[in-house]
Amino acid sequence: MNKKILAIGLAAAMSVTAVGLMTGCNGAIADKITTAISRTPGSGTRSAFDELVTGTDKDGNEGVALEDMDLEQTWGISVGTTGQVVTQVSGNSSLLGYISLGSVAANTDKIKAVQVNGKDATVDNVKAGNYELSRPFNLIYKAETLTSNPLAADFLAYIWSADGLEILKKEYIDVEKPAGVGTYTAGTVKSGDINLHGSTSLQPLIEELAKAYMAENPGTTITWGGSGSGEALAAVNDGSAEFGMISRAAKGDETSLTVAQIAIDGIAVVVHKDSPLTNVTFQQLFDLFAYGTPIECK
Amino acid sequence: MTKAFSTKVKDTSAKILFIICACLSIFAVFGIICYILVASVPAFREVGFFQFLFGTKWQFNSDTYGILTMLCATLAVTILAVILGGVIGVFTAIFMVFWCPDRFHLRYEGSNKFVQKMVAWLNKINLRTIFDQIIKLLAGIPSVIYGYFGIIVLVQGGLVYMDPNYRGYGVLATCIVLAIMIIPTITSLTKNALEAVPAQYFEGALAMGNTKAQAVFRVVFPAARSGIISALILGIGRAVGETMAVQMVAGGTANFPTGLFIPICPLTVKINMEMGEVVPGSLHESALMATGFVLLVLVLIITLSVNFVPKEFKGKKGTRVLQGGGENVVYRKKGLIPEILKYCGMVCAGIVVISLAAIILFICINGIPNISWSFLFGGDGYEGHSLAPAFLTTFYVIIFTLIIALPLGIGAAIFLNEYAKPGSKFVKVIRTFIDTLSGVPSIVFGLFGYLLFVQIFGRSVFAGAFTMVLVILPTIIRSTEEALRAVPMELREASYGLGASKIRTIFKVVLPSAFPGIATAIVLSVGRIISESAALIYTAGMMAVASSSVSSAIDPTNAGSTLTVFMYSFFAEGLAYEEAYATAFVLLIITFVLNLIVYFIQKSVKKKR
Repeated sequence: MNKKILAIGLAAAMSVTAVGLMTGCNGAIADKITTAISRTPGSGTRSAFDELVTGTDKDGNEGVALEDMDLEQTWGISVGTTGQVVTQVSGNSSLLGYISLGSVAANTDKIKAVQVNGKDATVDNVKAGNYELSRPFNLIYKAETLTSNPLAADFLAYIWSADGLEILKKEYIDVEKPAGVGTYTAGTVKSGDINLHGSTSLQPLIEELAKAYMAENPGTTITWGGSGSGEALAAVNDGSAEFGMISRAAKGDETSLTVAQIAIDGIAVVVHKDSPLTNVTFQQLFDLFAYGTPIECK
Repeated sequence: MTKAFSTKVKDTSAKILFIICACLSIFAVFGIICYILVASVPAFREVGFFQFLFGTKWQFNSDTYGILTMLCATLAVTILAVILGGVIGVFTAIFMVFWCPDRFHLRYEGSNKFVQKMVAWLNKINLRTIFDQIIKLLAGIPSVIYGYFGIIVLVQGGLVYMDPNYRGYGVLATCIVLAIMIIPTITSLTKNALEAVPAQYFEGALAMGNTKAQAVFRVVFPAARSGIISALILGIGRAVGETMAVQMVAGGTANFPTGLFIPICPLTVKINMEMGEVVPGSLHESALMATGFVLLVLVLIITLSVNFVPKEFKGKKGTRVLQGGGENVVYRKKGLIPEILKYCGMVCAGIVVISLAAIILFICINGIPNISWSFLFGGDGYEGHSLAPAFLTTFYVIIFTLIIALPLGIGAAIFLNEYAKPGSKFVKVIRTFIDTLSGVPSIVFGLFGYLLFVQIFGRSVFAGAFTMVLVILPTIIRSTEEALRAVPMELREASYGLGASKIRTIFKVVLPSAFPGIATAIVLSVGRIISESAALIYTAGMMAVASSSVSSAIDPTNAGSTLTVFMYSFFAEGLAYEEAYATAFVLLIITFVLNLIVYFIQKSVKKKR
């Protein structure tokens, strides 16, 4: 019957269209950024970004931080995780978002980091203090963990060992070893397992460190997970994790635990890899996030 | 102690056990309501109930919580999605029941042997069954997959070009994704309602000289309206509670839904995005619980309202029901509208097939190239990411969930079908609660599991399994009950006649002959567990992909990600999209195989009768 053939033909045609859509006819590259992607309120990356980015508001007040503005507006979209920022930005050249500097390297085929206030987002610039978007990476733990769990103490010490620092310095900035953390010697711990829980921003770093550590110390197991800084405290308190990962300064009840800063991380402002945008100023970021003023790409 | 006495004790104690099983759904519903209410009291107290409900600002830095924008967003997208999905779903059902041809009638005159064989083979395919399977497959696809289909194909591939701001997220995208997701529910329930209309209505209308289209749209359709309304209401319930897919296309900023491309943040999305970032014990956490509570109340109202839809045809398919029904209908000899509606049905059915084809193609094209043996079963020795730990965790969750849920569910079904008086008030209450439980959104189950089971077991596979017990309990009870009802009364009577006690009859005669139905229940539950994500993230946990190892997953007291959660974390971490699609492909295959198993079980049952 003709109708059936028609139906099959229609389905085939639609499928072909769908395939076409999927295999990347992403259209023209936009010449201006119109939409800001923020992370969920409460995320470590967002707290740091909103605190650091300042500008002049519509009433002429200078030095207003984004955190004092109402960002839940029609020109912004808000996503839960680093990966979703990448997904969104890589599929649409009129979007702009921000992610941990350490997460840029794995995604350079989809996105690019732009200069902020004329400075490249590089580890060197963050270290020299030229690049202004950066925040601390913290681990929180119960003080007694280091004595009761030799693997925990050893892994923490490993971060400041020669190998650990080498991994860390690739994409992050090292900080001074806090008091109470011992010296790492390979092979002293033969077994055991520890778990780290919390911020997604810390996970790429912890992944590198843990893999190297486990390779050097066979028989030990390190696991990590979680979907945000906020989960860290509960995980440490209920004992399901030895360390909580926080990608901002510790606050509230978190400070009742021991806080060890392990690194400084830059926050990269990212756009579609083909976007002509190369540089943004704080004022442009401020206007985009707070008022939806588009950024022209030159 | 005489033998008769001991049998009686056994029978009574068994009966009590079954009653307890049946009452479990009541406890579960009340438990969920109470736990979440208690957790949200601080927010209601601090913020003020009305301020919370009608406030438009949500800023946790200043402890300002108001959910009006999110509530409006939820309601708006739900209504639009149900209009869109409802029209397509109902018309698809009409097409399936009345116009879907049994098989192709292709003809081939040529002499090519291969083509001849192909044509013969194509002509053998039962199209109705295929269509049925398509609907079931759509229903079984995990919502995370819908979400990514929505982002990549719908938003970035299509809607972006219609949006003046070149963005594409927001109300329209959410509606379309939700509509696709509720179509299976609406279609299958509408189909049941249409098939329950006595055949005489249809035949009578034809005998009066109506065309087929007139008979369908002027007689059968109005007669089935109460069933169709129930289907739509259940569709609304599903749309209100959907989380993962909506989260990816809604935009996530809390605005009033004032335009098609305005980014919005429905209630479920707010909960899911911020749960990972809350400081435990804070007002923020309580406010999220309160949001969950509002969502729960909304869903309860919707599910309970199904009970107020009058049921018109309780009889079996094709039996004569003595009821007025059609006497006010004016039959006309000519009518263009029914003919047009008929083509609407065909178009809608086409849309459903095309949506499924697009989703499957999307997954296959992106997923198949990334499938490899070591990706699937690589284990700890494999350098890259491997699904092995996720398979293990999924297996654990399935096993533990079924071990707990099966006895409880079967017990409840036995009570409802073997002991309780049909139609008694008590049974009605229990049934209402089972329906209510099945309508609770999975994110609310997640919150409940987080409040109760995570406190007991910690974030672990066990906490996830206990949460999933509540999720699948209604499925098990319903399918088992259906199977028990189909066991002929004569079998029981014969068993009693031989002197067997009731309990013996149930276990030795009734349950074995109901086995295929129970097997179906198990397979359906497995499907539900595999596709679940929102209820598991806060209970079983979401491990970082790279840290998931077989050695860690082997211990069920550890946290672990099931396949769907694993796929979600691939996307969430933004590190390995190729593998995420490959996982989606694996999930699709599993869903397909599970559907096939159900189909063959049911086919073998039909053959026996």
